[in-house]
Amino acid sequence: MSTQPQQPILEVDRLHHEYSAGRPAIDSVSFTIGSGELVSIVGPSGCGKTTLMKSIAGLMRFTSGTVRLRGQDVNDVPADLAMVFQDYGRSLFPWMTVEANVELPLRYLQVSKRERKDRTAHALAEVGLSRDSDKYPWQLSGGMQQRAAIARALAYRPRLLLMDEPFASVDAQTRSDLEDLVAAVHRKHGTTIMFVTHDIDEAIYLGDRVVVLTGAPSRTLKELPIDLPADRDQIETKATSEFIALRSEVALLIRQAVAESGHRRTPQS
Amino acid sequence: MTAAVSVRVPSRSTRLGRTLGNLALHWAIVIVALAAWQTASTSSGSAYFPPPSKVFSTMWDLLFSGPPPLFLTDLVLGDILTSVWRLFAGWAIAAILGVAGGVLIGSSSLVSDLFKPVMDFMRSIPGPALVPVFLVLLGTGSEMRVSLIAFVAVWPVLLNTVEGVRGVDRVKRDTASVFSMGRLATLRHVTLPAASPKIVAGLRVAVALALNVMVLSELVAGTDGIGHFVNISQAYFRIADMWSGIVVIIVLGLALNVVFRQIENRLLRWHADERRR
Ligand SMILES: Nc1ncnc2c1ncn2[C@@H]1O[C@H](COP(=O)(O)OP(=O)(O)O)[C@@H](O)[C@H]1O
Ligand SMILES: [Mg+2]
Repeated sequence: MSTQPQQPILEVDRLHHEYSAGRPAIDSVSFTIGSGELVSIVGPSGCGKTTLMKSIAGLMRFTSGTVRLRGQDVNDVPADLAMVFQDYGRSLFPWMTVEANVELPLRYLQVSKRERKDRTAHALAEVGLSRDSDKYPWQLSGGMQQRAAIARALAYRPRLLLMDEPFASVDAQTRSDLEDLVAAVHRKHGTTIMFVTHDIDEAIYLGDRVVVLTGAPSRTLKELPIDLPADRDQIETKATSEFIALRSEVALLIRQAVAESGHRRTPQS
Repeated sequence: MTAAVSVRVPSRSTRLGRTLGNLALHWAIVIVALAAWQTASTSSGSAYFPPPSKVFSTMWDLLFSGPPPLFLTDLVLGDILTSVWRLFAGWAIAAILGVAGGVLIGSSSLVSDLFKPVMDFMRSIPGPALVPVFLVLLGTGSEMRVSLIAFVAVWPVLLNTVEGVRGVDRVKRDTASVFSMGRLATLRHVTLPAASPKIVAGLRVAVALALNVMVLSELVAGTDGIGHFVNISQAYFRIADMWSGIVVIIVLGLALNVVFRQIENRLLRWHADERRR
């Protein structure tokens, strides 16, 4: 897969954020994402991943650093970006059917009604929800709700898709299925995806590259290219020696970083 | 997001059965109460408390002894229609102003905090206390009554709308932003629906207040309307007429409640179902 991107879609440079002065949530995070890449960002809970994601999405102002999307500084919410939230239950609109949820954002794009309907139907079919399109989100299981949220993002056809621990609260089997769904979508459409997770296996399994963050407040620790074959399988890929070696490497890095972060609790210069 | 609490949800059929049971019980109580009233007032012979049979037959004549084809009397077409119209106009104005103002104020936490004490104060003013003020300002016409109803009914709508708008889930607002939905689209498809349970609750309180103030304004300085009719009947010692008027008001209140509940059930089905899970 694309190991050497020419023109990055996303450039994050020394992003730093403090919710309250003197207590950073993110220390310094830098990385880039090339067109068509799926980059996993992995870091322990509370290290600032959601903060990072919201900063990139223009949902909040960060304290310092730069976020550039296709060369443009992010000030407001960029138009061609979509996001799948960790809290799928809260991100879908319960007063609308699944279909209406998926279709709603398309109404504000320059697309005809016909194309809107087409895109909605395709996206729902892609995530396997065609038969549930008339249901309301609260009539679906957690996994199906997250499928609906993914369909909404897919139908939008974003240049960059942000996924914030999207599968953190679904059961293991559903989670594998949804991971494979994301992998398939990425392969089929070449969607550029920033996939945030605290799960090392998930990060490696899905990523073309993995960016490892330290514990809170996070810094970028290391970037690892994932040279696994593009066609991955939940059981076989995870049993390969390459996968196991990568997993140990990331786990060790994070363990070191967590141990280290104990020493830099006090304010830095 | 697995819910830790397990609520025993009654099945649809037992729920229906219970509703029907409740309904039967309610009517039984009403019938017993009417029967008690009937015996009590017949045996006491008090002129001030005619038996319900007399009240209802009087009421029937008062309402439906008009000319064909509708048989509606001047009381219905005049006083009652006037009152209902005032009630509705005042309430509608309160609804529009309350929701619009609530959305504006609620869009900013700073503005909401600033206005909170004022809104609480205004809501606490009892409607009756304002009748003299409105009389002086607007005279005894319909404008005065409609304005008074609107003035009293607007506060619960306003307060509830502010609260509803402030309470819209952060994730839902972020979702609208991420998909670049724009202000108006977000208002229409996210903010208002999310706030609608609160708004509807405010509108319901407003209807009850509006009915109260409507009757009161007609009692105090009326020239027409159902409140005026009650007042006049009392003055001329037409006690059965007076009670008929009161029953009409009660029925009006009950009818409004039923209509409102229907609208609520339709509009907020997602809300009830979401919570029942
Ligand atoms: N709105 C906020 N105000 C203040 N502190 C916050 C806010 N959101 C998150 N934090 C804090 O910032 C840190 C990082 O949070 P978050 O970005 O949610 O981490 P993650 O997504 O990696 O679990 C945490 O310590 C959290 O308590
Ligand atoms: Mg998070």
